[in-house]
Amino acid sequence: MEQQVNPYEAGQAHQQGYSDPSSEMPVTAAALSALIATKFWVSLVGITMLVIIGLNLISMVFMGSNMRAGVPASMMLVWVIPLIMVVIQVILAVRLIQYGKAIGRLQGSASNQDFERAMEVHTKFWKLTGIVIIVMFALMILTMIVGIASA
Amino acid sequence: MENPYQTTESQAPSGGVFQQQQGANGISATSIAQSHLYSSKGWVRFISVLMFIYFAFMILGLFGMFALVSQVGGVAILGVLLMLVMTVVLFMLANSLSKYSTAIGRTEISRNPGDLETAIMHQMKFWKLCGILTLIALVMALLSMFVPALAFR
Repeated sequence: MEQQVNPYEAGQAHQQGYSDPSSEMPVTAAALSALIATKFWVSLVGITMLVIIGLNLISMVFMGSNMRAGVPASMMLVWVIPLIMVVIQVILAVRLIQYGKAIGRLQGSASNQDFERAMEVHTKFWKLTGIVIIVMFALMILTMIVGIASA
Repeated sequence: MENPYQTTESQAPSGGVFQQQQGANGISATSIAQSHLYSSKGWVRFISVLMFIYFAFMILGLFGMFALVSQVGGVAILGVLLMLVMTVVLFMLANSLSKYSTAIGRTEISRNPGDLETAIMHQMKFWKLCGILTLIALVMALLSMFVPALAFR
């Protein structure tokens, strides 16, 4: 039996609940295929980052276990900064993996929300990278000033 | 039954080709997705500028290495070659990020799907290069672990 089509039915864009379709920009087939091609590389970089962080953590734990008890408090600072760096690197690696997963979901669903999610995660990655660089520069300058002042 | 009121391709407004492509994959960048993309522009530009500055420092370092090669000779050439490769790779990374940022800026002004496509292409090139470098680094790390182990057997 032939399926009847309702001519008054809301279109796909309506069903997804867009408030202002005029501001939407079509994602071309070439752009989509480029984004899908990004998925593998982004996931590879993210997973490799996690593996390297894991190896670094293991070496840090070994170094810590080799150190004798009763380490002075000033030596604890030597551990705090690398640990903060490890946490930041983990967040960056997870963001990359999330970006890859969002692209994978977009590939499967072809939904605008998944494209939004991919763009959101990618932006968060760059923002965090930028902030980390600024903080590192600030710390470097601070260390230089403290070094010059104490000399 | 055909719809006699349907707009033909020739009657479609500007951007009709892109509308057809949107129909093919059904995806469009909503205003939220666009705002996410545009907000990354500044950070991407910032990182690319830093990479270009680092590139300039590496060029200076290369000149220093050339001076070292002229004094020491032979062995230092390997170091110069390695640094040269690293400098070229850094330039390529910085360049693709810079192009990505510029394309985002163009998309923001023109709202043209073609510019969005260019932006996504450039970010793909950047991540592809990063991925290839990661693979090379992984292979070199594995070789540095296994080759000495095999040599001492």
